[in-house]
Amino acid sequence: MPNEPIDVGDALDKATIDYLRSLRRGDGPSVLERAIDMYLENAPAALEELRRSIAGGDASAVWRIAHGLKSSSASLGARQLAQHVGEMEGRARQNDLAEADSRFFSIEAEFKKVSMALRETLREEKDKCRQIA
Amino acid sequence: MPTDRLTQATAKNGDAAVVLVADDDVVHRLLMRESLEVAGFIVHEAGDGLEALDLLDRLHPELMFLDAMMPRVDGFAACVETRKRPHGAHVPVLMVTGLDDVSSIDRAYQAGATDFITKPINWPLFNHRARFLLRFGRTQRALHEAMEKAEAASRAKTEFLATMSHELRTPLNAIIGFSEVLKRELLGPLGQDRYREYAKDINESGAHLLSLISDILEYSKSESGKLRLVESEVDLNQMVANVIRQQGPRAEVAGISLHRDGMEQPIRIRGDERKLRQVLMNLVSNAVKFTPMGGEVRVGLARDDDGHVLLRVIDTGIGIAAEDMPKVFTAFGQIDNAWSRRYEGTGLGIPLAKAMIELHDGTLTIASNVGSGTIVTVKLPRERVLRGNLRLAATSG
Repeated sequence: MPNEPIDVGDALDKATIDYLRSLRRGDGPSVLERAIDMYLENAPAALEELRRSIAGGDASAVWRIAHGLKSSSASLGARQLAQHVGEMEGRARQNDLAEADSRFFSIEAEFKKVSMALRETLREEKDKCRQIA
Repeated sequence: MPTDRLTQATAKNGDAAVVLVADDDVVHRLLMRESLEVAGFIVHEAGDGLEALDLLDRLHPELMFLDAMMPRVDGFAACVETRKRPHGAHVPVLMVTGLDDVSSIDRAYQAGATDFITKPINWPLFNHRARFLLRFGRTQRALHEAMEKAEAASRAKTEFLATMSHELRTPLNAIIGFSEVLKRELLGPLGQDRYREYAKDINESGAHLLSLISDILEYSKSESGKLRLVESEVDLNQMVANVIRQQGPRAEVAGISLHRDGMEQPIRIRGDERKLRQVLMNLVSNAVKFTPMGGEVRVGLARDDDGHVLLRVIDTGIGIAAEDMPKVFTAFGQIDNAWSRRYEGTGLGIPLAKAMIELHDGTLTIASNVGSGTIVTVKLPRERVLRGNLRLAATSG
């Protein structure tokens, strides 16, 4: 399935994105732009840290990182991703890393979808800004 | 921190509320800031509980959002600490928790949070929530300030009364003392009868004024909780006889029969003799004052079936209407009507008597019918009765 496009259709909650879009005011980058930039800048590092913590068997670190990633993913409407990460957070909290490896795999896959969808959204947003300008 | 935008917002809206948002998630913080700024709030951000507490002390926010889970100092600990700080005691704190985490909602309230919201945040409702809490916080603060002001005013009033009463007593003692000297012509005759009359009037008016001032002083003490009992053994039987003897001449002049009601009862109690005497004097003199010529005033002393002491003052006077009864127990509340305006007094007698009896763990109650009379009952607890009364009475009699 090398060239098969990833379906990103339901990766982001439309209502959340629409709301963030509506917060636009004044000039400069919009809220949505800044939020997505911030997320795309921080999330990969968090994901990498999460991988290392799982490998190292550090449940409390997994808990802490997963909690933060869940929060920011949910903020941008990445519900499915937030749910996956939330499950990992819940188990890590109980000191349970049993299926963390396979869970991490699905988190990574979902994150790929989410970041593609966010980039797409970002591009649309910038186009719109340019049109308005 | 974009300070230029901050100052802009302040300049635009002088009355805008300062809100503190504490969250370790930068994306979430950004969204909260934007949402709140669109609604006109001035927003400051903290990355954890420690930063939040620092900003609380420096900026005195009117509203705080604390994310439950933060590194270093989490939302719960920050909330507990917020409540201890001078500017945090009454600020509305909204704890931000995970939707799936019911136990943290419980912890939020225990930590002193005003309310909670769950993540992911329902943005369209978020600003309304913030506005509601801001209004709530401002109302609560106004209420709190009003209460503090009222308490301070009340304290000042009590203090003023105490100071004034004390200051007034000093010159009065000179007036009473020297008029006494004149009245008795201790340094030689006054010559004119009218002068002697005047000296007597000055002396009596001075004594009356002194008793009013003493009442005010005692009352202000009782209001500020400074009234203390000086306890000793008190012979109530003797006290009743004594008061009747003292008030006898006044009653006689007024054409009223003043006497004991029932048999003499040897009752000794543990109490403050001076205060109890003052109460009884006050009740008897009130009864005499409000009883028309030809009436009678009786003073009874007995123990009820449970062994409590009952001290009663019964008159056939003008009585007190049911609707006026609350005023009788209110300081300066002497019933204001044409009838009673001719009866002098501060209106402090009954409130003061009640306070003094309550200091003895007793009660003072009034039963009255307009036109037919009043019964004032002072009940003192049996725990105050000193044992050996009966034996003492038996051996001495």
